[in-house]
Amino acid sequence: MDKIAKGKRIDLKTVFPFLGLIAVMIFFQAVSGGRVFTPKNLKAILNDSFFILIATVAFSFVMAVGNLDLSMGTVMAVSCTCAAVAAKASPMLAIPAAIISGGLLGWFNGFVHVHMRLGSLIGTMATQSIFTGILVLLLDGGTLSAPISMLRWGTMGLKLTVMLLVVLLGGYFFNFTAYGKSCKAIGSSAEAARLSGVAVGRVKSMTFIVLGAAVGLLGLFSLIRTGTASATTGSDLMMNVWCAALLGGLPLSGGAASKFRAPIVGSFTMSFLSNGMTLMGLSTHDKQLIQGIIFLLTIAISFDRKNMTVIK
Amino acid sequence: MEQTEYMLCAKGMTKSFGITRALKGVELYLKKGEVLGLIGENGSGKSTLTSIIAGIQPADSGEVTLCGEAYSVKNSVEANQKGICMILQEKATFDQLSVAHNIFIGNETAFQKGGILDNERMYQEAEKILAELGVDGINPRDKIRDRSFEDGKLVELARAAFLKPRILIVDETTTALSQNGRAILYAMMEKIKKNGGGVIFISHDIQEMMEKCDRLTVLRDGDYVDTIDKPEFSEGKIKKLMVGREIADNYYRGDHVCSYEKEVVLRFEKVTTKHLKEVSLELHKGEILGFGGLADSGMHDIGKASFGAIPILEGQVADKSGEPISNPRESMQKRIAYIGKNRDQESLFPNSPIRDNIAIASYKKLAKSTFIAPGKETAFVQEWAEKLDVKMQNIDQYVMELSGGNKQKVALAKWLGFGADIFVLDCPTRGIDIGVKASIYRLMEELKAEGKSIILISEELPEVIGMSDRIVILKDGSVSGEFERSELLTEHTLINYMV
Amino acid sequence: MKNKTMKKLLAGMLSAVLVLGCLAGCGKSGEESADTPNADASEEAEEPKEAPASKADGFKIAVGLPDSGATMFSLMSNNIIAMAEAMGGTVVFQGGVGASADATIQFVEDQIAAGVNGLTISPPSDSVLTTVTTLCEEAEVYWGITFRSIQDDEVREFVESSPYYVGRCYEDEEDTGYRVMANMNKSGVKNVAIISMAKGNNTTDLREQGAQRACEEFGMQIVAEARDLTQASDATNAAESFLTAYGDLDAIFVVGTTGAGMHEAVAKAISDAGKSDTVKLATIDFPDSMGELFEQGALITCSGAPSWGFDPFIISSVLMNTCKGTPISDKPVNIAIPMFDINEVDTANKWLEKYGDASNLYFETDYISQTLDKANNGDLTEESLTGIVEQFVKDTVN
Repeated sequence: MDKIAKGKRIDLKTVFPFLGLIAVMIFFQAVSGGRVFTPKNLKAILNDSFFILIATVAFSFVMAVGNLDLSMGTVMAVSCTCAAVAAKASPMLAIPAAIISGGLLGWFNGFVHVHMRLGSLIGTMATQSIFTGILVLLLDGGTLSAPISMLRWGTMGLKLTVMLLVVLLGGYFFNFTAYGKSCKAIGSSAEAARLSGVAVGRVKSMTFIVLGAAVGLLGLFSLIRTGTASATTGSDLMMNVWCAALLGGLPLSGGAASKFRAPIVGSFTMSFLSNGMTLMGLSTHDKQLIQGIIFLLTIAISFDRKNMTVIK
Repeated sequence: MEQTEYMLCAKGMTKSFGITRALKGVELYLKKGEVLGLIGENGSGKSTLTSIIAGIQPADSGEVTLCGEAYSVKNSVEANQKGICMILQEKATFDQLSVAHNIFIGNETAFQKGGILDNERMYQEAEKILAELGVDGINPRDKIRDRSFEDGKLVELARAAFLKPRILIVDETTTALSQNGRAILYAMMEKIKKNGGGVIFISHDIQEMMEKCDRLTVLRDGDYVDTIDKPEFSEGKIKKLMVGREIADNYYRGDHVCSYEKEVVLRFEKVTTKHLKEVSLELHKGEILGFGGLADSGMHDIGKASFGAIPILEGQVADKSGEPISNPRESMQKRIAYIGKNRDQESLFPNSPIRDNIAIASYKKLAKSTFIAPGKETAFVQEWAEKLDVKMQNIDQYVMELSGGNKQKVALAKWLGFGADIFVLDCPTRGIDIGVKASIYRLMEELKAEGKSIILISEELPEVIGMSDRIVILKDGSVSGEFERSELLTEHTLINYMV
Repeated sequence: MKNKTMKKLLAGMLSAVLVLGCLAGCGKSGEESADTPNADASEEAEEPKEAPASKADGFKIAVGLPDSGATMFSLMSNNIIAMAEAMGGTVVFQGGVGASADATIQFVEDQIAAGVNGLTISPPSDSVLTTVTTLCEEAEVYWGITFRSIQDDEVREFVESSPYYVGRCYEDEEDTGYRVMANMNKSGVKNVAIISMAKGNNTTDLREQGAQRACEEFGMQIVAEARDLTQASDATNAAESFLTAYGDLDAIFVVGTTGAGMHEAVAKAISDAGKSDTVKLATIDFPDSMGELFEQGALITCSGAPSWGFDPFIISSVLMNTCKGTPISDKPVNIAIPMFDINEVDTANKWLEKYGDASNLYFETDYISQTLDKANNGDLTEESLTGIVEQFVKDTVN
């Protein structure tokens, strides 16, 4: 057979996210006078990318299936609040409180999508409102604070370990297990997946639960980092994650083209971008404008017109 | 070749898709008032050629003249304007719109009064056109999504008829139509012939081609082979031109013996589904059980129910030990495989590589606890793709790039790799060329010899007759006749039980 | 093939936009972020910039407050920039910092990474302060608080014991809250709805405490509240809800908000509901449209500092002195800025003349160099600075 065409074609689409990351790094290093790659700055970038990376890795499973989740920021806020409440009894309780509450909310998202058969876009829009209601009830118009002892938990070592674990586990499940492959299969064609023996409903639910739990963990770390649980916790999480996913090249429609490197590359690109803009002294409005433009362009470039299925 | 005799001349047509050379300097000549058949194995270039003529894609090089004038169009609308229309095998109607709107799609200006669409007049005109075609039972106000696939095709015919084409290209449309639908299409073709137009007719059914065409142009692997006139038509000759070697006339099973083992492997106990009414039957080990019927007879539900893919309203489908089957995963546990009629939506992931398509059913087998080693997966996929001789660049090629026959081979590879004992095949050779068809029939025979069981549902009666041990004919959701394999069984007999 | 060329083109465009967007952003905030090396790009700007990179000479501070959106923001930023220049340093501004705990921490981390010598924040709650203290200490960056007091004793002890904390500037919020209510009471107001920040926000907590005190004393009632509104449309919705739900509402009190155009939105909601005669507006901090609102009769009283930006201005002066190496005090300062009331249109217009224009300076550049710069004025202390502040306020009201 045609052995000539066997070599992996260097597809612009595959390489583009890496190019983007490198471009961003070089550009800001030059423009800020070399301040990007100082230990202090790299620490700040790591702190920022910690949240985006973990959330985007979990989100990549949801996207691979062809779904979206608009409620993740609110889930983070609720988990953060639950952690703060639990911490009043005992700081160690905050850990399971955050993860379990996140997982439960994620389970609910799955329930709404699979059993009530609401498309994920509309479904998570609805659950977001419900979760916000829960949040407001829990916070009663104010904020909660963490016990001072907890604030010391957020060491660089711990964060790096957690990030590494998430990346390794995520990569393993995404590429080397039936679960990850089933996610991509469902994204490619849910009906064909069903008729090939994939437990479509269960897999989809699982992606939401995992995302919920991951975001719950982030709620805990947010509490540790800021010492506060408030209504605005996690408010820009979703936008950052979407941008990261798209900048990394994750296709909106999911399916076979979803690669695990996408959330990794995308998250770091977002962090370097965000950080770089701060180094240049841009205001939040400028940042949002630029993020918006990049978002739009990235969608335009990467949108797979061949597979223009509506988000399921 | 005198130019005046021919209404359409295409010379030196060349087209490549990346490294695939679909057309290599092909020629085609269509006379006025004739039906020209275009035949060839899959990959021969017939669809590419006709789609170029119909304006759907441009050729890389070549010349086309229409009635003596140079012909070059940028899109199918321009082709329509020049009098060339094409009807395809796949669906080309809009679900959300009504029948009438589909018929006049793109030409609504004829019905506009000051920017407002005169729906009433559209419905009336639509009625007229449908009546002229000989179609009854389709209300122009109905939405396409409420009508069957066949009705959708008839609407496409009506759309073409409205445009009053000089040249009609029929690309493998008849395979998906019932006898009634085909009759309507043939009538339309006759009409065009009579009016001095021409028809380019593509079908895999050699008998049909020999009946309906005046001349036949044969392509093979992107090359022009030959054109023969009606007096020279013979199945053997045509097949030889298509494939380039002798193929035994009879490519179904060689024997005429009805044989199967005593053991019952699958049982329908008074099964009622959306289209079936209390159907009971048994599938035996080592048996090929064929099903025939009209489009709405419910036979497709037999396939889906066997796999647990549709809700069973009453009764149950049970395996040999009497346990009921209610979803695809359970069926797979019982080693049942299913390949549905709609290949691209049901048995394949067109937007995924061959690797994923073949491996998807076998992850449990390939995994060591949760880990699926890429090497193991590759070896597995490679093995089965090769066993079925899938023509591909490599296993990471996306399935949508494959031809119909190869796609079906991928679906089969999936289930053979899975190791099923019972195969439920719905229209397995639809739209597939002779070469691959023959290999699928050989495969079925092998499986039978190994003691596997096959349910074969097909709209091609010769296939059902040629391959099955027993045949069940369905009509309106119930069994109307059962037959055993026999040399004397004819299509005519079976059709009587179907209608 | 065509597809690939298209992608290359778009990739090029994307890079171009990235660059252009950043440059555009630079150009706009080029005034404030005079310290970035992109001074080359915005060379056309006329401001007499000092040496662009702060590493050589001159300090660099970051102020966690917006520099645009309403006149009071621009007024603050113009004055602080002028002062920074006079004292030999540069300053950047960042909006949205007080919106959430995340934003505050992000700001502190980012600015530390950007290499500032000092920063000021207006924290949304006490709980972030411990982290901020730790971060700034580690980075050896000085910092101060604007507009807030620290309510939690533990946190206050912790913060004030850090050598890098220079102190805070604040207003007597409790008293102000009380006075506004008392003034409203004089006009016969009994039932009030409030628009405020989230609970835990020190400033509004105190103002509400004062308001509560007034309620007990004068028999008034706070019937409803809306919190954490960020944009004018939120204010409209809140006002409409209040008006519909409480037929005997007398006034809407905007206790505190971070959005722009909130007061105007509330006034419009009231007039749209046809209740301009019966429902009045009161607020703390002087809104841009104060003159018109008084004239329309919509606003009946407001209380505020002489200029909203004066508080951050003062604490910035303390911070700048410390960054320069000439601190005015060896323990954290606590400087209170007196607030005063404006109850009618004439005073309002007088005030607007002075502070309705973003280009008006609080002090002349000479004055700043001579008096507010400890290097030139050795006598500058917390007390003397407090004296200057009180005099400034007195002068405004005249």
